[in-house]
Amino acid sequence: MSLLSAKGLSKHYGGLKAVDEVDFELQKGEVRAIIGPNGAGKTTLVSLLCGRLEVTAGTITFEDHDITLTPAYQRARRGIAYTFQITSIYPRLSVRENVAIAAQNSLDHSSTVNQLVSNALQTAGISDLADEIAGALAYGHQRVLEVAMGLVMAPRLLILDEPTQGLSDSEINQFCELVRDVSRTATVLLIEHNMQVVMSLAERITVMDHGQILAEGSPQQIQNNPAVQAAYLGT
Amino acid sequence: MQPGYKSLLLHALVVIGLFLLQFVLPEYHHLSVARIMLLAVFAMGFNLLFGYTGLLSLGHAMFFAAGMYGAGLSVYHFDWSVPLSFIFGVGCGAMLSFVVGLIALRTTGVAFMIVTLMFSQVAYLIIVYFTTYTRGDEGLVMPQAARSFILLGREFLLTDAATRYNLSLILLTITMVVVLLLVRGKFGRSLIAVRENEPRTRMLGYNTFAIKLRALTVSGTLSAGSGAAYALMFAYIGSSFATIQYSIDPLLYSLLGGAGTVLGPVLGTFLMFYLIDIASEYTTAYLLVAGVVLVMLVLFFPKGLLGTVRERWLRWLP
Repeated sequence: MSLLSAKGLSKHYGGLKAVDEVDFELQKGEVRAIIGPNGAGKTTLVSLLCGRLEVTAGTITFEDHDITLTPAYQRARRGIAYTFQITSIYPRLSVRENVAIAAQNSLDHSSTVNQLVSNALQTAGISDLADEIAGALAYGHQRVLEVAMGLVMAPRLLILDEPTQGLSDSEINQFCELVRDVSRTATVLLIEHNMQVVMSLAERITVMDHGQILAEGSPQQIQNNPAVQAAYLGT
Repeated sequence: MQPGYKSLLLHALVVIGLFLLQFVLPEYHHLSVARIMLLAVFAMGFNLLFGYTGLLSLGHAMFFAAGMYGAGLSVYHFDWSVPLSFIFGVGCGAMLSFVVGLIALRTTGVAFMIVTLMFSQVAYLIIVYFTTYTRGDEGLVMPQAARSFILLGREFLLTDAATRYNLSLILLTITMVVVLLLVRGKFGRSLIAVRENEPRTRMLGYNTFAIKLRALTVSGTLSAGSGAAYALMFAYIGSSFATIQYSIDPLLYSLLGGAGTVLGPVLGTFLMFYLIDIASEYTTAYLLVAGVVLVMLVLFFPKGLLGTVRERWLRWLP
């Protein structure tokens, strides 16, 4: 069943076609990776999906609702959570407060904000850091906090923009575990450069280049696709 | 003791302390403290927007003046009763801040400061322009009939110092309770979220424009409450209350006491008022003293007195 579908999606900056007539479909429950060289339009595409940017042309449907013109905050309330490529937390507030801000708009109404926060911190494995000031955390922990803020919203679609960038190998492993956890209840869309992460997490892969979709398929299909090899994988 | 109870106790002690203070204060200071408490209401209203939401308005004098003129003109020209004109003044401030917010909140940062400053300048010029009704700079003295009112079967004499003092204290207490309830709840958390990182807050499902508009409207309404009470209690309205100085004052009070704390503006108002009061006994350049203190403050205590106290010792301070 289709969770999100985009038709003819374009974002132009003057003559630059950052995203050019892209058709994109996400199935409910899948883990999808978007890969592609720098400047391929990956972040622009997901920014259009979550509402950070306005589309130049095209339509976006989420759970059978046309959300093309829906403002970003309403999309978040419908269940599209987005974590930033450049860590964007509340650096002067405690870890607990950071997650609590996100929890206030959670789609999970089964428990109180405090309970939601505790659960999310536990799932993310940062319970012991709850009272630390977020800006003082190590970078890896800040990335995890970002994801915890996404988690606590109980999203239907969690968009992760280069989540493992700047993490150590052991942190990456923990991170993959966390994403697998999340994917049991939510659809996950991630932009990722680390091919090991992509191959271990993603069920399907979308390859972008020059603002367009170059290929789409299972990890196996993508690895064997000659066009992808030429454009991106190199080997 | 739980942090919530600690802070409730602290605020209750402040109110009780202020209540008891009136029995020991000499006449001059008795009057000063009554004024300070009203100005502190103004500062608390301002601080809700500045300290908690992170929006620096340079035009809050217009909200103070909206309350002052809404109340004062309706008493002076229409002979309205004191309570009714007070409510009208507060309503004027609420309306004005909502409308100004709709326009000014399209901007942020320096542009927001300039737009609010300009709006406030317009308000000042309107007061001066309609001098037939407002007497502009010279102002109006409230008529004798408006120096007393009957509420709930009791007569209140506004010429009586104790009545003024306690009415000011009541308004201060109400404001403190309103601000505490707002900042300690979900709404307060969303204000702080906007202050700390607005783009992120939007992506977490918050309508940040609506949050800022609500904050500005509450802030303007509280400021108007202060202005309306000031007009009615001290029986005078004048255009000097709409000048830039009255937009800067609450900023100074908040910075001194601690922006983003509930009690900071109250403490700041007390200290700055007496600093200027004492300095003016010794020199005509008393504003220079205030200026120097402010520069030192920004350099060494950028979070203000209570902001620093909270950071170092009392993490639970709201």
